[in-house]
Amino acid sequence: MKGTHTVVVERAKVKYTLTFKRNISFIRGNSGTGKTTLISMIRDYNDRGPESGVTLSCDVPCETLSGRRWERELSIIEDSIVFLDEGNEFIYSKDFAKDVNGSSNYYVLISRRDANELPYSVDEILKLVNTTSKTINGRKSDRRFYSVTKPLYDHTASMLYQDLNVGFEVPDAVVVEDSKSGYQFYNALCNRLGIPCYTATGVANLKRTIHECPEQNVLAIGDGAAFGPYIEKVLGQRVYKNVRLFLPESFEWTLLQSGLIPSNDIPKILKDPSSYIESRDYLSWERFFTDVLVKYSADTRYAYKKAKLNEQYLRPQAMNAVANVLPECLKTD
Amino acid sequence: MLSIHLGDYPGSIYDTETYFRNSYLDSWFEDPMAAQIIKSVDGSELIGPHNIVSKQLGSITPLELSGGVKTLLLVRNIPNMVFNASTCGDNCARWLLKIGKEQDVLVTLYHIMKFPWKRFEIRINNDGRIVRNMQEFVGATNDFLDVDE
Repeated sequence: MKGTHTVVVERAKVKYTLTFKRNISFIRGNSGTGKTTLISMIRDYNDRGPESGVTLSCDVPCETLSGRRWERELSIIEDSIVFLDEGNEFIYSKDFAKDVNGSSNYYVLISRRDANELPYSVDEILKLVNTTSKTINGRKSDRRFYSVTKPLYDHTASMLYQDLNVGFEVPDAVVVEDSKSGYQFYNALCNRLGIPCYTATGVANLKRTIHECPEQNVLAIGDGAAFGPYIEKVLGQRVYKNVRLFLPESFEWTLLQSGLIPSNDIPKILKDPSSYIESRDYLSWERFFTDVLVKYSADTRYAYKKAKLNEQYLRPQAMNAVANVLPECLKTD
Repeated sequence: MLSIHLGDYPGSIYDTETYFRNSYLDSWFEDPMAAQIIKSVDGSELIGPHNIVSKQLGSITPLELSGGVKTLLLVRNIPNMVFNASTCGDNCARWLLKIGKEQDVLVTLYHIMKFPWKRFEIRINNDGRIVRNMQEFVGATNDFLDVDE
């Protein structure tokens, strides 16, 4: 399945409008915001259809999944949005991750626990926001409770996440999750800025690398497309030091954004990736952007390989072009 | 005192929603703290064990309380069992601390809950350390959550 799908679930006193554009989304947030009610309404609709008193509209089927027979039930669900709530411990199993990989379904997990087996985007960690207005056009509203999905984590236009009151502008050091092309690029950029650049050699080590580096004001760079399981742990390090968090979709996405690769297709893809990314083919968007970059750069001087960065990207003109799409604190004069 | 086990704990109840549905008693709602929790977390008024008034849903039963409130009520009323507190949002954190001031309770946690008080006392069951602020608590989560990474 691909594309953006909107689910509207309603009953007499409540209406939810939920939008999902990737294969894995989480719904989190405070207790009492309606997550339990939402899942029970979808379950009622699935059990009884319109006779349940619940109305559900979406361009694809919506299912709920729970209990011990989840594998059997999931094996017959295709091209659907599957909702799972937090009581289902199998969400965190390798077996579930294996079934999600290559699946034509989108999955919505209502849970605060990080699912390290699944590479979900930081932008698809959502919360339910009450949009109920007491009055509509000056008249008293129908006293219904309206709720929509919004990203849990705010970001600036340059993809700096939760960036209010971080305590510094220019970092003393940069920590990069990548150890290959991305690290080679940011290391060269940091040389120009005169600050150290550390590789965490993998996103799972980012928290520890931030914690152990001697600098106090750190800019951490990760792939937003798969950073979901790690954002809370990295933000948690703010009790020890000042951390800014730059999370573009991926390093390859940043190179595509820079305009270095001439193609009319790239801007269209970047504007609406969801319409191009089939969940069966891509568990996470970062691999899709790598494939796009490899394909469109192949016959240019910027031919891209993930393992070792093409030195053309380290020439001043190219570095300046990429720096243009980076946060201000990574730009050189 | 509030004790937290970070990660899985043998015999703990993970699916608190189902456990609550099959175990809650009317007497739990005679406790003044129950009304305070329901008001504070869900914004609802406890009228009696069979009637709670929710601003959003109208008149509801305990089964329609939020997952967080259900877990808090389980922790409060069955202190000899261990429940999954990751079913509680950050708006439940102060109530876990308050319950811990009155009773010895142990809960499991799988995420970094944000405790609102500047100073508190929580025993980390994994190694018995006492954490007294968020910095110490995050330090414990660094040590015990996802250690296989």
